[in-house]
Amino acid sequence: MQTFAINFSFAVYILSILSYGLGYIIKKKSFEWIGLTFMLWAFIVQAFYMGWRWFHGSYAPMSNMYESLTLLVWLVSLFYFWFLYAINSSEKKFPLLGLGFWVSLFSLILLGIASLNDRSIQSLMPALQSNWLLFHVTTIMIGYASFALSFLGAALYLVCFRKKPEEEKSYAFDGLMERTVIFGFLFLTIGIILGSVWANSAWGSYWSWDPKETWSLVTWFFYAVALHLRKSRNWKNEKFAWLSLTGFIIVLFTYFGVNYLLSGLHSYA
Amino acid sequence: MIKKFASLQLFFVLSLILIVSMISGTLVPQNLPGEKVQQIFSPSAYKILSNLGFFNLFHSAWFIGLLVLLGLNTSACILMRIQEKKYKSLPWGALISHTAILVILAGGVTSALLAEKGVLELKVKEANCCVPSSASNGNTIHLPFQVRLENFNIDYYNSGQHFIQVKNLKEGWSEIVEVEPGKDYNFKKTVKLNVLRYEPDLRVEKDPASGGWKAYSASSFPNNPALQVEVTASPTKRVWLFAKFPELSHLSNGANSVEKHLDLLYQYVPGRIKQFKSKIEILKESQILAVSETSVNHPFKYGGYTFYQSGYNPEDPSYSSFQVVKDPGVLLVYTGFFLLPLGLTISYYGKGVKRSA
Repeated sequence: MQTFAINFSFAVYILSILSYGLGYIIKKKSFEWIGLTFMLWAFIVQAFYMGWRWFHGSYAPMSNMYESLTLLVWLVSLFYFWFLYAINSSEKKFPLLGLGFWVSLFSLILLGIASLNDRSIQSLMPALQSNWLLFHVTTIMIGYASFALSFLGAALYLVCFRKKPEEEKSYAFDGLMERTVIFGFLFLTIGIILGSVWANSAWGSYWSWDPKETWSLVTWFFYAVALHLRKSRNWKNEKFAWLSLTGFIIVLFTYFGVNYLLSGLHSYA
Repeated sequence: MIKKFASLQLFFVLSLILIVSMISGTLVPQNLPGEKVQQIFSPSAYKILSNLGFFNLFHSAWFIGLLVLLGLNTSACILMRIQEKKYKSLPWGALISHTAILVILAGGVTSALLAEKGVLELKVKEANCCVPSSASNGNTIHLPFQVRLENFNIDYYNSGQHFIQVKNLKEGWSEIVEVEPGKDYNFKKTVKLNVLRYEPDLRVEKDPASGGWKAYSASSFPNNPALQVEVTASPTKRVWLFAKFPELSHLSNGANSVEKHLDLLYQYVPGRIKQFKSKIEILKESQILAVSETSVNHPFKYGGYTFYQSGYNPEDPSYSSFQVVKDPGVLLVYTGFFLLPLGLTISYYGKGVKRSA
């Protein structure tokens, strides 16, 4: 199941990228929809794969970098499907369809990084044997996936609409950035809180200033400032796109950098 | 005055300083002994950073001052919001989420001032009521009862794994095999190993009856893992292989010599720990008031104190340690934790919220 799921996902993401690329070159929208269908297949297979791992490991598959990255890839696709459906402009239906190319490419890269890690189902260390693992990691990953989508939207905005912010489609991308940052911020907040409650129930301390905690608070402050700037100083469009890009770089460091460069209570993650 | 503190500019500046400070706190080593830090930094850099409190940044006066300023800034913003007449109804989401931050900060201050935290170290059958404080200058916690460690157990997912590497220096080959006691193994058809027995904590003592040496395990913990093997080469010999003392396991040297060209190396990989559990009793004047089992993620509460299973000693199976905590700030912090997402949800997903697309 494991090898099939990974290889199948790789293959369909590549097919999705090719379909989107072809659709862009020959200006045929139908190819973009085919690309989206390939993404949907990867999404379904990954859902089964995570369920299979959960069943065989007897714990929620979120205990290490490989498992959390797999979850992240799945959530990025889920939110992309959701925002593709939810965000519409007055002139155009599904203005975010083209973003699927970048979502597929991003998922392919993340899956590649995930594959570099140990894929075996391992027994849980005592500290991770808790239902808080499921709640804490899921909420944090929802936040990260949402920020990832804001990053992709921001990158595309800066490439395509920086010079023409009045174009109809640019509003959809600005809307995507706003919604994903708000959604991500809410779930990052809940994730940090759940982690803190878990730490208190496992170690008797709800905050220890360990590097992962501190960097997650840095991320939280950054997005809090970004949202205040958007609301009170009208930092929308290009300015907010730069904030989204920077925010996701901080997210990446919190997620990967802290694990590999700084040691602490989360050194297993 | 309130207007000055309510400035959004102040919030942006404070957040920026806090972000930079927190990042510094993860890059500069924290709470290490002075000698260790001095090895990392030059004397002048050490002096400057030390005077600025960078080696205990998150508890330094200036960092706490920044958090207090953030609290004042947030309080002023809340007051201004309430006073402003431009709203038809109060912006409840923003008020709740900002109040939540104040409550969390207040909880943090309460914890810092009133929390009692310490580590209680016990050996099986030992009782104590004095808990040394975790804070470097904190007072010892005197519990109004005694805590006794009735027993301590470590559960494993699997037993340890044994690997034997055979090196034939004459023929120039080496082979590593996972072995199990009671089984035979052939290496390149020239060496046969019969793994006779495994002792996790090998000790040797003289048997008064026979006058010979008797091998036994002092405990079930792998403190001195040893395998007894029978090597069928020329000649056949029984030897002990020690995971922690590989120099005693080489056949080509010293006492274990069978053949000069044959080396045996034993590696022991301990089993993965599933859980460590302590059974503790609460005593007062030799009377048992409560009995409970505690393990990681399953603390035990008694008399306002919470006991968290925090550590064990792989060399000493009778030792267990507990984090002992009484923290009145937790309730406030948890209240803030409840209010913060509630406020954010109302702010961003409540009735009448408008978005760009």
